[in-house]
Amino acid sequence: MRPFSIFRFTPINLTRGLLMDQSEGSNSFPWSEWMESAAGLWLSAAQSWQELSTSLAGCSRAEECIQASLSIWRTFLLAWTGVQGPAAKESQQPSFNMIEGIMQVMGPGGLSQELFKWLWNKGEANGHGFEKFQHEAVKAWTAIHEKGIQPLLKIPQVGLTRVHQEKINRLADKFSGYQAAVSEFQMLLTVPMEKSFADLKEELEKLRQKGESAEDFKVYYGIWIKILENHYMSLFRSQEYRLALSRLLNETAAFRIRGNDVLMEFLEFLPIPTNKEMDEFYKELYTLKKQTKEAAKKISKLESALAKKDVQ
Amino acid sequence: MNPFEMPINDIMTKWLKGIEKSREHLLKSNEVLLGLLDTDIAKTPYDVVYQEDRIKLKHYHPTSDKQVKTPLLIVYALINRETMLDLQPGKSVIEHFMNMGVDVYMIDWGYPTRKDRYLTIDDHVNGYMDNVVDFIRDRHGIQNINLMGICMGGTFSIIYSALHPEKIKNLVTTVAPSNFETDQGLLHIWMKEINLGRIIDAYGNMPGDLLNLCFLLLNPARLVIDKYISFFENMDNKEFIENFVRMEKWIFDSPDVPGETIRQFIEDCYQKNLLIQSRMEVGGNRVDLKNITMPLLNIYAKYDHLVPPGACDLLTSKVGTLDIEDVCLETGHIGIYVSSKSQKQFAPKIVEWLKQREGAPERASNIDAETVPARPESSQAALKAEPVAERPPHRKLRTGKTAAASRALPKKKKAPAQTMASA
Repeated sequence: MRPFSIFRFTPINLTRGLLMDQSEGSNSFPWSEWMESAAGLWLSAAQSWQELSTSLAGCSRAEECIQASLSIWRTFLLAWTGVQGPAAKESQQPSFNMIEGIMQVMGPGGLSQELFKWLWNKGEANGHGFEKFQHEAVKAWTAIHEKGIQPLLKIPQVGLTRVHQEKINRLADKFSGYQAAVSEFQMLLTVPMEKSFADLKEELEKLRQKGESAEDFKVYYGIWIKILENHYMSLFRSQEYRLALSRLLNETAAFRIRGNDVLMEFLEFLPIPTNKEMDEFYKELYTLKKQTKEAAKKISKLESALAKKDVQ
Repeated sequence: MNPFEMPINDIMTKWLKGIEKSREHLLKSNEVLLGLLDTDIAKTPYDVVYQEDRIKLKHYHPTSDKQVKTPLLIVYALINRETMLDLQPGKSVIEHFMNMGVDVYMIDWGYPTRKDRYLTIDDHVNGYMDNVVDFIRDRHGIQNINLMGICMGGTFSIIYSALHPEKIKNLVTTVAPSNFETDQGLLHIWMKEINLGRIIDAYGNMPGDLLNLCFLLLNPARLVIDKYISFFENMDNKEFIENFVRMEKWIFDSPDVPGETIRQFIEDCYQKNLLIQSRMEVGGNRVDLKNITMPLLNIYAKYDHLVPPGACDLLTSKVGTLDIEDVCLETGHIGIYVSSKSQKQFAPKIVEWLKQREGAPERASNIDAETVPARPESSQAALKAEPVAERPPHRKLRTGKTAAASRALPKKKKAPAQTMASA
């Protein structure tokens, strides 16, 4: 067996090592089989997609896209799992495939390029929308919740399980509020990002018109990160952001408190103390410790004063 | 034609060229990341000389002749850990102090658990801190010690010095917020309107992870994106990676903060700004800044986004001593302790300042009886029982070689901060 040397601690090589060991009848870990079968599933799915793509005769652009994506994913999956022929296993350094995979993902036609283009177009479409940001999705969800779901959760409960059911309903209600607050906050955080891309485009256009072009990509990155930082600073100082942050923290706390209520319902069935019980105990412990420490201090000082008096 | 097509194509072409070039970089990074890295922090040896509940007192022995005979107690914040002062050999404030002959003690606040949720500022200041100070005084057989507070620990040190001035010889505050009525820092703006009380009710303590998230959100462009871009760019640089990982270890080693302590800190300081007005109450006693009669060195950072200069620079005009000095370093909140440039300024400045005041008589005698804050009956009784007869008679004393900022001032008038540019 080939020694793992310094590569043995990477996830890739750990997985690969496990797979290799298993095939060679040593050290089989419970999840190595799962990794292998998962990789097999994705690779066979990739194969099916490839076959599908060949049937798209005449759709050359679609075919190109599918082929390019499949190629990337195949490389990445192979690199990750090490599922390939024995000859290939022996001939390559363990981590080399990872680098190849990264290069393909980052390289021409790779996912990063697509992501970059998507962000670019987002900037073009919505870049100046910061002041006009309407939170349509959040508002829609809040309206659905308030008019459709919340009244249902507030229907009076009756019978033996009333208390328990009410607690669960309150938790569901708070979860909804929490979700809305998280969504609103997350959307707010994306606004500077969108605006920064729009501004970057303007900056680049100015540079293009002047005929200036930086050789190093880092220059463009530097321009963008500075723009982004400024937009975040503007956002963070806005009243809108403070309200969203405040709402997020309040909803998080409310959801947590209601969640604890429900959890305690279940814990009461088990022979373990609840947080509420422990808090009562901690409070008593805190008070007792404080009194004891104060008393010990007083005694110590009195003793030392008495000792001085004796000496005199 | 889309007018933006050309720039983006141009950028992408250059980016892809760069990626091709970075193949070597990736291979070398592989070697660095999979190789042996020295990323341990807080390696300077110390003894734990006192322990109470979760609190430990670390003692670092000086490695050269004592230049400052009075021991220095460092009180760090409850947020994050005191290991920041000892991130790595050669870039360690603790090591600098030791090499310059200072006997250093430092409080390790430990990791509060749910049982600590009821601990207040009073418990930390009049409880743990006071016990530690008494321990050091007893151990060295002295009346008072030097105290240095950092960030929230600086605020605690200010409170402590106002409540127990007879036990503190010199006070050094570093990036310690005392005035919370400023719009220079985002925290100060946010805290005005945000009610963290419900979070504390829900969690018991303030979760360290939540605090970290808030700190990251202060500047996500730099702290969430740019910082890690820099990491990827320097993955082939072993020294950079080691330093980076050390810092990451420190930043995300965030204990929870006891609930009632942070609640009072936010309400009394951030929201009501009581401390700088000498209206804050701790343990039933008003914290009167005029009781701070010992020499005060107040250091803060010009580019501090957490505790901006506006949160620090009022202090010296509110205290009862004339021996004051403001020093503004051209760095940030963390850089003041860890940057190579600050390393050459920060510790040497403090040691020099302490040395200048080393000859001053012990300050137990410096306080007029009426300036000592009123204490609860039990504490007053305890004070009466102390062997005060052995101390020199009371008299007012403003001594030590005063720094340039304050030396010539017959009445206290705010002098401009001494700015120390980066070396």
